[in-house]
Amino acid sequence: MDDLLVVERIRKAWDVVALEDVSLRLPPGHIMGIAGPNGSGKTTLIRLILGHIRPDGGAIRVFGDDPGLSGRAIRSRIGFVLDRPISYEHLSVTRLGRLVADFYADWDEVEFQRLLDEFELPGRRRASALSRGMRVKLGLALALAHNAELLVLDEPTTGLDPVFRRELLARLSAIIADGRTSVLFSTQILTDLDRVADFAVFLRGGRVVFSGPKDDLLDRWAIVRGGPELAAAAGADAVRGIRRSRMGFDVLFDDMDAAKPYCDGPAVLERPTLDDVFLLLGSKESQ
Amino acid sequence: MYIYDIYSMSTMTGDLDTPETPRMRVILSNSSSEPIYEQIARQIRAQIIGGELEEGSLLSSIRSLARDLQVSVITTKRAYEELEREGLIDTVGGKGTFVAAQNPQFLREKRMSLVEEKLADAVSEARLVGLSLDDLSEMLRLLAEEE
Amino acid sequence: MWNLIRKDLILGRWTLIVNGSMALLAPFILLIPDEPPPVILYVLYVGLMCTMLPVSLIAKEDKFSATAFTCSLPVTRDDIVTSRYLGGWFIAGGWMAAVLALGLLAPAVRDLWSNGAGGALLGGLTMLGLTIAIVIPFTIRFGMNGLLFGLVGLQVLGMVLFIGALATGGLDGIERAVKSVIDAVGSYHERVGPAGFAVTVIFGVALLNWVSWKASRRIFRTRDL
Repeated sequence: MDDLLVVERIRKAWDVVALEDVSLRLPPGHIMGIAGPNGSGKTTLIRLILGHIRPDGGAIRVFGDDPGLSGRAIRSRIGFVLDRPISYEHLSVTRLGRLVADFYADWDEVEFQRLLDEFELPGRRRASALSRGMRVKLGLALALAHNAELLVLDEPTTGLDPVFRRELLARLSAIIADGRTSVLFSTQILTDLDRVADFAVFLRGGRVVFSGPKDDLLDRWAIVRGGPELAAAAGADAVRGIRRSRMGFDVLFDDMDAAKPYCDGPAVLERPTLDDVFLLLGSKESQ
Repeated sequence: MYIYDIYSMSTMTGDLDTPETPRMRVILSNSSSEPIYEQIARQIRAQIIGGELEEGSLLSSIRSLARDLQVSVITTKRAYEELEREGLIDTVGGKGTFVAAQNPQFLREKRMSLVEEKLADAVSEARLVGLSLDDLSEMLRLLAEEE
Repeated sequence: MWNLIRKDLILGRWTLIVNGSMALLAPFILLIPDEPPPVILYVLYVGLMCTMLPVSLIAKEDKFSATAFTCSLPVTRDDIVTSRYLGGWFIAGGWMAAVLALGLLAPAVRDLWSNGAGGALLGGLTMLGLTIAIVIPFTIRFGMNGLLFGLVGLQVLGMVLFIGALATGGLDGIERAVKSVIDAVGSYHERVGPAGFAVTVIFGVALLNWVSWKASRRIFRTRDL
């Protein structure tokens, strides 16, 4: 199956951060989460994918076409939820729906109304009077009502309470259950990727520090926490990060079997959490 | 620096009842050191071996299982692949995944190995508290008679 | 295309209503002085008020960076540019025609038209066309703030030139240059007659808009939003 989204060696200097050599691929029917702190380039990447800004180098293909120049047919297959409030907020929810509906040939008004009900969105309320979470839901309803095959969400969980976040992530996993639709979302919260995300991309300072199936991290990678003798591990192939701790070192391995030999004596072997991986990845012994 | 999620669920139950699919129950634990795909595979395996999931019955699809359990598609796919490798389930292209026809001999072997596994656990626990082999056999005999 | 224009109309409805009503008052404002103004002044004034309608819409869109949202919808960037031109002509031209037509209801305004109606209409059209052809590419390239800076900059430049001309005694030169342009237009007018002149002007305005539209599309295709 063809990938819905292909990003190849993108470069872009924009805002405060410059994306360097970013590549990713998203096949149909999967969820990809892009995680990183503020200023790591998440929004820049999302905006490149939506075609708001043009790359300085490299190529982006969405449904096989350049998103900055692609035509209506391809653009109608993309659904989006932007992180900034959309500017048409003096309109009521229903009016905003009608306005957006105008642009999509396969807009499903019945489905839109159903989603408004399901999300408990008051149709007559002004969009500007909605809470942050409601706004994300409205964006999602707008995107789902036109049968988008690729959903792009910029930090949908930021500022949401935990219950709401869980609900949203559950909704995303229901969306991809058809095997055709894929979801790409960015987040500051690593645990958002814990469960439903198939692919994880970690950004730091505009560079990809990890990109791959999330399960690889959680099931195959390992952390060894041990004494000063662990410094000897630093040169090993499977080591992806090493950091001085109070007792000695924490070492991140991308292969549990490779980690086991270092685990004699008092050193302990652990499955990493995403937080562990993010903190340790790429760190050097000296730090 | 980052906002870490303090709301972490310890268990998640997926009760997967649909008209076509038999009762299939998977309970996941986030705090277990066992990878999620292994938790799924282990529980389905136990249900097949235990006869709760009968031969030929249709299992939830990879995608609906992922949705119901709130895990990634890759995770459930991996669990099914493992069960398939063990010959416990079959995927028929376009139709779905079914509990494979089990050779009675094979099933028996599987069950025996399950018993063996549990006994091995019991033995190692017994060693920890210093039970002798005789004490342990006696305990086993009493338990068996109790039933 | 029409959905983009309709979107602008819906989103900017309050701006349109306020600015549109002000344009409606134009005939009455001009009738306040005892001496009725020449009709061309009246038409240019109405035209100016009406061109403010699409300009304010573009300003609003630019100010709230709504373009990012619009660009995420299934429309091409070319569509967006084209809709600005079409929408600009449609809104400004349509409202201008409506206001002028409504003005005819007042006998005093009707009297204004007795002299120089054709030239006045041509003048109004030219102003409308020039404004659209200049404002749109400028906002697409530099944003609304860029346009404001550009206008202020032009004024400052004009003043500097004027003062410079005064100081160096070059004012006569400027006057002569302006006069020679006016003379050239006048003699062209005489040579081709009023109809030919009108055709030339309309053609010129259309050409300018076409060039401006082409340039805007080119600029907008690579603009980061």
